[in-house]
Amino acid sequence: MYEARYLRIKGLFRQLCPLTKFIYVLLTIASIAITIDLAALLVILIINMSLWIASRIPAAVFKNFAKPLLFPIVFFFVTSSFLYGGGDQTPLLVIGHLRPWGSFIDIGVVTLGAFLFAWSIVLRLLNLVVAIPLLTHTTSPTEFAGMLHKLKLPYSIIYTLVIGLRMVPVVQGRFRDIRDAQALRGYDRRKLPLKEKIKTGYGYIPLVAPAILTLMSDSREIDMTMRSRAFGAPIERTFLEEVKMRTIDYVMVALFVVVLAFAIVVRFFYPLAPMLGLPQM
Amino acid sequence: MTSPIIEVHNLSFSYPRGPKALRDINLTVKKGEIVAVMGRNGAGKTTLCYCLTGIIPNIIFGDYDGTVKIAEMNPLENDVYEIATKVALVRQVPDTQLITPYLRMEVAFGPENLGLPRDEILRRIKWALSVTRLEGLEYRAPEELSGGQKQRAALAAGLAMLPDIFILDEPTSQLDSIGTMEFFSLIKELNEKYGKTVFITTHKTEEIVRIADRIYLLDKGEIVAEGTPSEICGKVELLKKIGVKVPQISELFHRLKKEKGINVEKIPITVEEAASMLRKLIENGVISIKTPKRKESLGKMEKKPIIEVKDISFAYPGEPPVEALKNVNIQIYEGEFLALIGQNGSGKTTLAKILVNLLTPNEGKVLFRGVDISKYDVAEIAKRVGFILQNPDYQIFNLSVEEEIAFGLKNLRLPEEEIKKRIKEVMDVFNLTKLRSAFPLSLSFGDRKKVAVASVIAMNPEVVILDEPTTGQDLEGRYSIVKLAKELNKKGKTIIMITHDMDLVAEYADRVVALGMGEVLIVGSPREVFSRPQQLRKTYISPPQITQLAQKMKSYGIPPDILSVDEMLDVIHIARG
Repeated sequence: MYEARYLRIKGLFRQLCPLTKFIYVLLTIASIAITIDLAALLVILIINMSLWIASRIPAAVFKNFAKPLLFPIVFFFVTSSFLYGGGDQTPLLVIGHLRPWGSFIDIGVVTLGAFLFAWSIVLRLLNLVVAIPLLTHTTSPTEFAGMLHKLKLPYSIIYTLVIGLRMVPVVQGRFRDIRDAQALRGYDRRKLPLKEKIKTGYGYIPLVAPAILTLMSDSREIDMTMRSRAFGAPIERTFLEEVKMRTIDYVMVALFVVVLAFAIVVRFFYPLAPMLGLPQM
Repeated sequence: MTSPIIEVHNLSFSYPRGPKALRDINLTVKKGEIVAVMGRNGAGKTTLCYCLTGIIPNIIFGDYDGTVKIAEMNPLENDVYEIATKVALVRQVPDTQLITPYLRMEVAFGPENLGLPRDEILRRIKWALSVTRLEGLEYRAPEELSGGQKQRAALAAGLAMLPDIFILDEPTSQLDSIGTMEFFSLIKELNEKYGKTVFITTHKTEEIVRIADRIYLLDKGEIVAEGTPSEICGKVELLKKIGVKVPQISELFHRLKKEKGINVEKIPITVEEAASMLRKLIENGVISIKTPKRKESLGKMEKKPIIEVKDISFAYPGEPPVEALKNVNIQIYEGEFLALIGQNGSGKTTLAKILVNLLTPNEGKVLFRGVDISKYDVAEIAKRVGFILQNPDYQIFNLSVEEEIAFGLKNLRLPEEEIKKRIKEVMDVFNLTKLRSAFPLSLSFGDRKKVAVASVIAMNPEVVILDEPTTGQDLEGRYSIVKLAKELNKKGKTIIMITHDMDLVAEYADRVVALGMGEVLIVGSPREVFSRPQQLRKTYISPPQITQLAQKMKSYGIPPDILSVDEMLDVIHIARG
């Protein structure tokens, strides 16, 4: 399973204010949402990958993050190839002719426009795969908390998120132990007869019930721990990491704004693909 | 060490709809003292800690009577966060005390909540981590720390609040011997070097008597005795009555006095002290040493192996992979009681999980009655090898004890009549008949553990593996589960017990396998294994206290492989003339 684990790497993004990184992710999402131009998406991907390299994030992170997205990427690529009806209608692959309910889209044919559109989806997702770890892997949870505080999120919500981050490995470990404990009593959810499956919530009750019960008891203990470390004291809290924009942050935000502007211009005024001789999507 | 920093007067407390958890408690702790509270589970130790830290009555409500004054504050008037500026609390379970994703944030959490300036917080983080010897681990996630490191991290988080007092509620109950030693030495340092007052509850008598100034004994919510460690260790009958472990050397001197009429100046609390006293008694001609001939026990040669571990290697995946077992070869014989010992991380649980197919070795194989177990799935293996995990709550989910025990039997698709028969049998053996309809989660930890064990035993496996059956348990709890295991062993079951408790190993095991750094270090009878303290040290294990004493007294003719107080008494004779 993918873990958004903070890496203490000395690189470009590590030096940036968490707020800058947050703005970067938001603007990247906006940029890739606005443009469908294949060439523009490729340019944005190259920029993002350059930032990745400058931030010295190991390639293994890309692998880990991309792995769970592999199925959605392939799924969207295949469905878009067959279902997208716009752009250049030159057929690339014909496996039959099928127009359900008299639709104008022939879902048995992959057209050049649909093929390019499918690639634009892949490029969008790849941009996300590159952009998100730039925030998550270069920002410590303390900086994250400081950033959310700067964004005026209430402190109780910030700590709910922080504890959530802490509890992910705890819950994973707990679930593994419970699964082992029940397996050791001969329990195999997959081998249950249908009647038993229905009775035990598709076989999940013996696994989920102990997890919920033990986590409920943990939550009371966690509450005690927090309160005995002055959580909730009527004092203005300090956030360890000071969230302060410096010159490099302003320069980087300017760069991200330029990328967004580029996406808007390409989308609405000067499509890049035709200029490069690529067919319309 | 003069003025009282904790004063409790006539404190009584009852949880809603519960019996009295504390009755008329009166105690005083002076500034700079280390005071321990001992008593069986349910005696009121945790409730007392909650009262001192203000969790009762500010977070947990109930009938509260009496007064508590701690660091000039009163929990009835001061909120938990105010008390937290002077009083730090460390509890049993590390996972619920480390609440943030990494250590630096954990230590900063309290000072941040107090609104301290950033520079001050950074200074405190540095100091707290250095005092708790956790420097360099600032960016480690809790799951990347060892058990001992986790408890020290919880201590560091409390230390960063700059408290005057530490309230420690069984802080070492989940730690192995090295973790416990590290933790207690740190407590002593905090006390001596920084003048911190420590109030600690524990079951670990042998370790706490080395550092405590005074000990209170608590039973059924009442203080039944108070004194110095030596005074308390002298109250052997009382300690036994209220379920507190008597250090073996204290018991020895108590019995020398009572049974042999030897005049002992005081009850020793450390092995060194006991050795020195024993030497004096010998040199003064009060006692002499005569070694009786010991009957040699029949070796393992007569028995057939039931499990054979052949060339097993295992590494947990990661970058780089974490090597847990290296070329391990063990034979486990039918009907034996085998103890698997070693420090945390030595590979004991990994090996046990391989024996039941929960983990697949990278190399080697395990044979059960000559058949490679990789042919079986976990459920198939469970019919032959029962594995009881440490925490019973990870398996309990049914609404009654009876249903909980029936769960495994139904999974085996046994006929209804057979299920009923087996439930009755295990309920009788485990003394659970009265609790047949009880909601398992409402039972005490000891009883929940019994239910978990019973539900596995009902499946009638030939081999039973107990993973740390004594963790978090008091004296009675420790013995009740292991005695049951011994009963099952007498009926022919093969028992494999993973444990850090060397007293139990000495008393119950036929054979011991000591693991260290994933390798088999020593195999032999408890007598053979404990006779090699140098090798045991590699896996941070010390022989039982009485064996250590015997080893120190070897030059006086005491056999160095003595395992019990009875054996030691057998070699000590009153000198004639």
